[in-house]
Amino acid sequence: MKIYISATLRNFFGKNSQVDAPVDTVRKALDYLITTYPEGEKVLYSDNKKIRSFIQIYVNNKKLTVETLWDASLPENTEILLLPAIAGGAPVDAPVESLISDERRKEVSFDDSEIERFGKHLMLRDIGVKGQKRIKAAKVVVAGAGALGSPVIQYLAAAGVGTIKVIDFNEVSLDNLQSQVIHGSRDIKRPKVASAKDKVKNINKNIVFEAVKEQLDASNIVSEIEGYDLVVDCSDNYKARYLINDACALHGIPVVFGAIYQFEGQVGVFNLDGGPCYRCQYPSPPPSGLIPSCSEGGAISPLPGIVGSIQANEALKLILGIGEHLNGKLLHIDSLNLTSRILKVERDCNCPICGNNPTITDVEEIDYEDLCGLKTNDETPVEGFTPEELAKRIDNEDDMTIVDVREPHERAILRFPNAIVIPIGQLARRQKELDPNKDTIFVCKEGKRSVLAINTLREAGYTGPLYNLKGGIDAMKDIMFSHEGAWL
Amino acid sequence: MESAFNKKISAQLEFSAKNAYPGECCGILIGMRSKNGEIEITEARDLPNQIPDAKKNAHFLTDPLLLYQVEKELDERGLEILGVYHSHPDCKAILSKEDLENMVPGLLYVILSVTKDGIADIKCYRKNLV
Repeated sequence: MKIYISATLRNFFGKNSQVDAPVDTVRKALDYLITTYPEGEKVLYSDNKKIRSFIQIYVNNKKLTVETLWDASLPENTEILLLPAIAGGAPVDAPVESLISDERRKEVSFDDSEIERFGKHLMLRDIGVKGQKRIKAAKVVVAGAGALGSPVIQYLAAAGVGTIKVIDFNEVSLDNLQSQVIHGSRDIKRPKVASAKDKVKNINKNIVFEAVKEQLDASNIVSEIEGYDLVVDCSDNYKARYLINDACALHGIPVVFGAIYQFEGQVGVFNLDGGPCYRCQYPSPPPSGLIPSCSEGGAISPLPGIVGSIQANEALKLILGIGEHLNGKLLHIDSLNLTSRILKVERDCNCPICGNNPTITDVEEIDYEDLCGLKTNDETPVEGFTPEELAKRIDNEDDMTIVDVREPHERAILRFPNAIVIPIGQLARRQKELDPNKDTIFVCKEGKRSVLAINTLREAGYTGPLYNLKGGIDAMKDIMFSHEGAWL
Repeated sequence: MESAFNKKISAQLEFSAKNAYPGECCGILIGMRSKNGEIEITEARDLPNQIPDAKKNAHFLTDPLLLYQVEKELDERGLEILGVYHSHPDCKAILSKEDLENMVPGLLYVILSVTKDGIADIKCYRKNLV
């Protein structure tokens, strides 16, 4: 057998390019080689007697991969090639560069009061004056001033982020106060962005705070995020999440994502340094109504504080360029059982936004209402009653069946009298309990799951008339409780 | 160790690194080794990166059989492969764990750190046989 030795390895084998080995297997040939050139053993084999990763062995121009070939008897004219593997890669876990360039950092200065205010940051070796200047130079968008936005906005402000833009369309309501600690009783009915601004200005009046009371959509998102270093996604719905992800992926702005549900939360960093985007992990949203949103599913009060604080911490680390990041990872926290785990998120090369052949190049191409199943299907529209119409029918004592598809603990908050109870999962099986000759009205909390229930029944072949209570019991309760002789 | 690295070669490496950005370029350094151990690099040659596109900005791999062909051609001209170069897009010019594992002792390893603004750093490494 002939052994060809690559010039790159020849120094360890007497500078020979070819060695004749009077043997008939690859293993014996290599044994022969290292018996002749003992110094070559360390080149070929690692300490645990495995062929080193930079050595490639080819037999008659074919790569030796199958273990059995090692001891297979081969003809005399066999040629073994000892070649180097030229391979490597950029450091995978290399520290991420700060989002703020040195030029921008150098433009920032501090006065005496700021030195005092940020003293606890300045004494940290990983932050120091340079890091604090990066924080001050940073421009961050917080999408949502609700449960997650509350800790995120307050911690970013307290940490000294120079420019904070908060986008939220809603006004503060009483039920927000259970978890949205940036707002207080006196803020009820005020825009959330106004209340957030008061809080931030109270923390540090020098912060540039931009309050945007606007519903984010494909037409305005790009102008809202352009020129900012980072977006912290504190939204509570899939439409906003996909919109924010897509716009940020297309404009190269990293996103710190956060989400909460009941006792569990998730945090992740997307669109950073060629890392995955939200769509790589979740290519499409779940069918509308299948998974209740936080506003429908509820959440324990401190949970957004935990998740939002981690988001703020990730945001600051990205601004500073320090530590490990949740880039390409998703942190899952279970506050009920006090467990957490980090899931790996791979970039999807077929991702329509950040893949190799992206099909989405502009957010205005996408109908986000449609993507998230928020549009009613034109072919089979779900007929429904407004709360007023249903109230009238109840007053008229019309013959009809009302089906409550809410979960037991939701019914405990507010019962819908005379309604029969069938959870969505049992509907198809229990359709015999419904009378196809009677009008059947489905109710849930917000009028979304009830649409899903109607579609489920139709798919299961139910032919009777089905109606939805528009806006759900949430919309109904004001009416029914407000007029005399209420039936509810 | 002295290694003669002329301007033409380094300009060529910088061009390759910038050209491949945000992907990773790789190639070989070709030249002669004198009897007293001094080496002279006369040519840098880009090699195709075999890693599928999705991971290109983090890894490189070349076909060993291609190297075999190149070596045969060089042997006739009295030249040999003296080193390897590759770029680290948006990363420091330091050896990654993967680089270290795959280093052939004695060869020069040139790493070019490249960002969207151009070449940030160039470093050269060599591993001794343990």
